[in-house]
Amino acid sequence: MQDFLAYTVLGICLGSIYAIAAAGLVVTYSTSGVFNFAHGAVATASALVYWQLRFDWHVPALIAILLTVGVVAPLLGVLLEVVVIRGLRGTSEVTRLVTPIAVLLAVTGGSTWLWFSNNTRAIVPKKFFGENNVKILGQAVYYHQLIGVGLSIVIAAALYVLLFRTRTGVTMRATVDDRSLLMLNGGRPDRASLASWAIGASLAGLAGVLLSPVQGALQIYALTLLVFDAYTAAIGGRLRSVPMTYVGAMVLGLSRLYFDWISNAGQRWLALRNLRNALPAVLLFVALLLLPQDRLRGAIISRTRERFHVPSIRQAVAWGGVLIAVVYMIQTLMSGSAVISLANAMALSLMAISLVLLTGYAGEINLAIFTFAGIALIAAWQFDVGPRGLATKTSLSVPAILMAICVCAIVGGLIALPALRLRGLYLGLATFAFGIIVNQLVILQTQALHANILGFKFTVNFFSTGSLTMPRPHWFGINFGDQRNFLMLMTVMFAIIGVGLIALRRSAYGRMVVAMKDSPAACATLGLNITRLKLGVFMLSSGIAGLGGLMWAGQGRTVANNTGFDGFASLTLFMIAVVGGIGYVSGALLAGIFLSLLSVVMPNIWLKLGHDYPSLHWLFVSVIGNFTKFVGPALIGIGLGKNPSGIAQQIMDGFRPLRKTPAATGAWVAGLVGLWVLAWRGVIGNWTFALTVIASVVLIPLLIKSLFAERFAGDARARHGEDLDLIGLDRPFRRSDRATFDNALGIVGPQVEVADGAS
Amino acid sequence: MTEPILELIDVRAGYGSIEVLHGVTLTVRRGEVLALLGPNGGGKSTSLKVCGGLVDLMSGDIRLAGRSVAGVSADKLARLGLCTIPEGKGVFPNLTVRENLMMCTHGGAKLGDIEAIAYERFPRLSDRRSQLAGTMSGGEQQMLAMSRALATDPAVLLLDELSMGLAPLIVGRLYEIVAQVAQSGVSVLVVEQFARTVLGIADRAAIMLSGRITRVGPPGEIADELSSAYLGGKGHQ
Repeated sequence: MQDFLAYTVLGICLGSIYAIAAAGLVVTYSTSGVFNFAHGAVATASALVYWQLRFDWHVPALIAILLTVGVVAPLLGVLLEVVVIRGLRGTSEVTRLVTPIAVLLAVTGGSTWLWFSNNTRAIVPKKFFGENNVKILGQAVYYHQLIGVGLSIVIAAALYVLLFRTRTGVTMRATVDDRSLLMLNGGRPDRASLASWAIGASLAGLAGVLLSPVQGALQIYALTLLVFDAYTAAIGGRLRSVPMTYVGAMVLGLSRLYFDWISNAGQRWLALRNLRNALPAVLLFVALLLLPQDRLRGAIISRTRERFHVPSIRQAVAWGGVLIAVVYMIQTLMSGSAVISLANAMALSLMAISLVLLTGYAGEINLAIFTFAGIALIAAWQFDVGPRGLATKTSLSVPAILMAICVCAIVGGLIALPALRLRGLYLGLATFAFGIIVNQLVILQTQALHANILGFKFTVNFFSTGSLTMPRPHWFGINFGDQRNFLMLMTVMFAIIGVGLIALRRSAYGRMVVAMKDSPAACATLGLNITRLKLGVFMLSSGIAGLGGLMWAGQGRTVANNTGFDGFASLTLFMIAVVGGIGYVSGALLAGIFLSLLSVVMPNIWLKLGHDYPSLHWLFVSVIGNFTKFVGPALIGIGLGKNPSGIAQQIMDGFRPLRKTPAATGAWVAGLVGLWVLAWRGVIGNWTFALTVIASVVLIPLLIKSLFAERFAGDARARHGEDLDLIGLDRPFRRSDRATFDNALGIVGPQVEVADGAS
Repeated sequence: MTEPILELIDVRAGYGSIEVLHGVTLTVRRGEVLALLGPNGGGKSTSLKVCGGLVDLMSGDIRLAGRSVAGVSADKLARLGLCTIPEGKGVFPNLTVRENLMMCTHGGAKLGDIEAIAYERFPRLSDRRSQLAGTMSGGEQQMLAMSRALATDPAVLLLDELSMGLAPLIVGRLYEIVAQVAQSGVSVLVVEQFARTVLGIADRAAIMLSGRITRVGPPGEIADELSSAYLGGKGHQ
């Protein structure tokens, strides 16, 4: 009993800090409609700022906390609102989720760069009032914890008064309901939104400062994930209710401490040792199950700014062929390490293509792509290699791949079930929570699982040695252990899946999927079973993700249990896929290339430049290199609000006019092939080739624009000013319109007099 | 009575690149009720949005009490005394009735006074003051929206399709209140597809067809011409 009381006291202390973090999240969501994924990152950055002020610069604690929570964090929130969040108006839920993810990655990346890039110093935050404590119910409670409890109570009361009793607070809530109506009421939505982001960020900062001493030495990703736990509490409050959020936070804090108590701090059941870290994610699932069914939305989506074209199947097949040919031609010119980078990009593209179906077509969200990769890896490894070891198996077998795909599809279906009846955001959070659970309980699992089902005994090794080594395929007498062969295998796979997806999109099933994304309500009234449709799409997409993940593992050969399974890699991939153009297969291809470029190729280039020019080392490595490595990908994501349809579409739009001039297109392609032949024969260097190709790809759209400027202006006039379809719709039909039609249709003939009324 | 309070002068406006209003000129005089009638898609709602500051002008001018207000944002116009009740339900569905009324207090008015006015006129709202506006019936929501027009004491009231989705009885009742508001000196510009009720309270009426005002005159004359306008006859020639 004494233990129970003691753990209860500590659980309430922890829950209080969670409550502060979650309350900030609820404030921003309920007043701006954006789920602030960057909340944890803001908390972590604030904790670092506080540490910097308090312990590195020895500013008195009170001033340091006031500066952090009262100035730096709110400024960060205001900055985010002005630079990022305002651009999200009128975008789809996916875009509104991705942009804060980009901010999250930018802030964590930036913090890593500022505080951890040069040396691996330990940043150890200390508690307020050090180790001073009082005994409550026999348990020593630090003053620090008491401050947390006290502040959380004060904040709860203040928030209640603000949101429900003051005009400012009610204006904040009204902003989400109906912006234009608020303006008609004389309210100022921009100010309300600014205030809510400042308050939200300030609460995040406070939670960050209070939570930071919990872990000992401060680790950016670990602390950010710790604040993620508070998301569960916010979901418990349905992202709107502050009191329910507090209840959720207490449940969270208590369950964590009670688990410590009954499991004897994780020593009792070794296989479940990491459950402590996964508990919030497990509770998130429970909270999602308890949430009431979402109202079916009408056609809200029709007003969003994202628009995707669908190519015909013939075009898709042609482009698939072009992709295979181009990759084949390029790889003949590449050195071994460059081929590895390209293959890495292709593997990531294969994972990203699963999102084209799920997110691009169906509008659903999966934030755990790498988790599916891990599951596929474990399944295939178990099937092919198992405890017998690599010596017995030198090729990845087709049954193993099929098995892995099936396992992923089934697992995907199971985790999606609780969230399918809810909105996309919740499904996204459920997958993210799932990623955390799998990472903690399966991938970081050091115990082998011994099972005995119907007398059939088997042992499942997860990453028991800390890593798994995957054999590459050896099929049809081709050894895909060879890097170039493996690259081509993945390229062919990508092309086939890509064509398959476009065929699917063009089928009746594909139309149903898109209709579901546009208007679930309309679909339901047409008699479609939305849940089954969503489930099917999610399973198919999970299967593709598993296949991609297997190839990614095969590309890396040995996958350690700390490579990308903690959730951040999945977030990055998802973000980059949306940036690339989530509605396009080519967007997935671009995503893989971007990610590989930004995370591996670019830093290497800057490193090499820094090595070659030691006097500029600081510029190339410390500034530009770190910038591209830590902040680059995120910055691309933040720009998404400006162009929510993605980069693939921008590129296609640039080249679209080429279709009208087949001769110019032919000349350009012939020129590129000619260049390749020259490079292949060694007449020109690879760099010359690469730069010429890149230059031509960048310059040609510009060139077309300037050459045909007059013609486009005419086109644009026809499109906007005198759109033939619209003639007579927005104004009475005139006699001169007839001439316009005749002109456009190329009809030259006797002008028949027609009275206006008769037309 | 003849002094103009709200003037649209050769207004061109639209959405994106599509022009909806092709040079609209219309004057609302101080203290009058002007009914803007016409078939679907004629640009009536767009005209009101332009007046309310929700749609930008492409060219032309808008004057409120003689001052040009082209390009002034919707919230500033509201503070200048222009009250717009938009099409559909002009309420915040996730706020309670009381909180909805709280949104009318920008002019320094006391919430208590506004509540008193609203509940006196619509006693039913008083019972529902803590209920979320989105959970009320369509008529009650429209009453709540109208309360704003009553309580903020605007100079000009813009009403868009007050009748939408409501029973005729409730529509009649709402327009009675509009008439009373007008009698207290508020100028009203009302857009309505169903003309009969509104012509009963209007001082003047205008017909709008294909983005142009084709006719302005006393309600009696307009009523005669309406059917041909709706049937796409010769109204614009």
